[in-house]
Amino acid sequence: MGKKVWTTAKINLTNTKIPYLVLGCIIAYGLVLDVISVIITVVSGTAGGSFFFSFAAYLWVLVILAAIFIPAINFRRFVNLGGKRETFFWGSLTSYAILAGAASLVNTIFFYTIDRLIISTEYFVGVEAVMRDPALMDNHYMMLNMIELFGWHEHGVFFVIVQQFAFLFLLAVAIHTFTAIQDKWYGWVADVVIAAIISVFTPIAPLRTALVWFFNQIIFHPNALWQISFCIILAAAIYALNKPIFARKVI
Amino acid sequence: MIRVTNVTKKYARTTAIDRVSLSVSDSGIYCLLGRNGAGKTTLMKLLAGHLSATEGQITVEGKRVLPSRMPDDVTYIESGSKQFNMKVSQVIDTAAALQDSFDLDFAQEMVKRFELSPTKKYKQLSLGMKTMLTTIIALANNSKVILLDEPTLGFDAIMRAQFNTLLMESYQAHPRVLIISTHLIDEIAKVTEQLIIIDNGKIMLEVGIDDIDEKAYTLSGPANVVEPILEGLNCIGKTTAGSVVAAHIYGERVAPPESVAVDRMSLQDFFINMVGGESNG
Repeated sequence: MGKKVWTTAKINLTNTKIPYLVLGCIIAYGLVLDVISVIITVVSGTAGGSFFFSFAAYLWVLVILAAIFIPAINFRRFVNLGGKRETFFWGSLTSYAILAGAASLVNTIFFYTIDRLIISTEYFVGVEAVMRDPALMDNHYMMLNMIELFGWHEHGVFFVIVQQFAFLFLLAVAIHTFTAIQDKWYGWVADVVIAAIISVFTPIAPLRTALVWFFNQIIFHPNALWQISFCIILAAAIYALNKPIFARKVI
Repeated sequence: MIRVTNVTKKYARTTAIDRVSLSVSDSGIYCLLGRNGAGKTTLMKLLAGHLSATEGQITVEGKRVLPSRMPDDVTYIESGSKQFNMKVSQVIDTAAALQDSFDLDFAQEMVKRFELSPTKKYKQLSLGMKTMLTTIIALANNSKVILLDEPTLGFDAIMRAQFNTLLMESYQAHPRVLIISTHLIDEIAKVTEQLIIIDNGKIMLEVGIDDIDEKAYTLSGPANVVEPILEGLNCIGKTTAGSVVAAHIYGERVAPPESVAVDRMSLQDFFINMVGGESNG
């Protein structure tokens, strides 16, 4: 089973080309915009008013897109290769663990090296500095990395990697499950429920509190271990739904 | 091995499969023959557990087949199914890595035999080559039941002949139940042993190829001589040209008078008459 699961993960990671292509385009587009901003800054001698998105943070896009394309495209081809649904279940889970781990590791390395180097120049500030003093944005660019935005850096390097991994893993698993049910009536019901939660919960104060509570658990919780455990347990519960979903999936 | 009991499959108001009962107990190459839209694909998907029956029950090796309980013993390859865009050799190796009893030697030999370049990527192959690759993967799988839906789609005459060879060699290497759906009867007749004719969601006939050779024939002659002979015979179709009539019979042989010619009915004619054999006279 282990070899088959690994083969499935390998197929998923090497045959999901569109997410890599989109990631490449986004990075290229971001790079062009950043170069233009740098040129304007150097020529005019002034900076400010906008933010630079950390390049490694774009890897999050890869995780999200892979979680859409793996169930939508790869499953059918996987079955055509004679693969069993059980193998796809564990293989896809392994793919998301690898993707979330790699994205989290690379983003963390960038956050502590390249992002820090950029912030050390006179034109840039970090998210935390802007939160303390929003006026800094008038004459600085903000270096935006989700690690700092979500406050994960407060718990040290190890927890930065693990907290980010747990959140990305939950995100991938949830998107995978959501994509997998789109061809069923309950997928449409789920769409309506999510749209209703966003539109109804946000304007109504008590419901908004529930939404805030939820995001506090999966992202902003001050206790890193709690946030990690919450994300992993929730991810396991959501992913378990894929067993009956894929067992009944028509190719 | 396979038992289909009074199975009906409805899509909204359309009945795709109508109270079908079928039993396949022996290994062999079976041909599921029917016109486009006759219900071949639906029946195959039901057998593989990719669809659930509206009514009735299907069992394979005594185990009930449902979408939530797909049989491991059944491999189903749908018409025009796609593979990952990997090199041919990688596709074969990956299939071997994913399956418990994949016959890698057989698959590699067939790739060589049918001149599928191992270094070519899947998308670089012609439609026929793509189908051939998928068929090789299916046949190298040692499942007890293999269902191939329109496997010769996109094949030229030479490839169709090669496909028949592939089918025979696979069956000789691993005797099991091979069910092939098609509407090209003359091609498949060279290798198949049993014919299952389906029309409008109903099984019209389940018969051995030899049985057709023996029981299907055409009586041609003057209408006033032929017509009385037809009484009591199973006439499946009739063609009239002026005062001459050609009646297609499936059943016991009769000894007609000399003015009536008895000819062997081709499988193609037999099929046409079975599923669309209205008289034109």
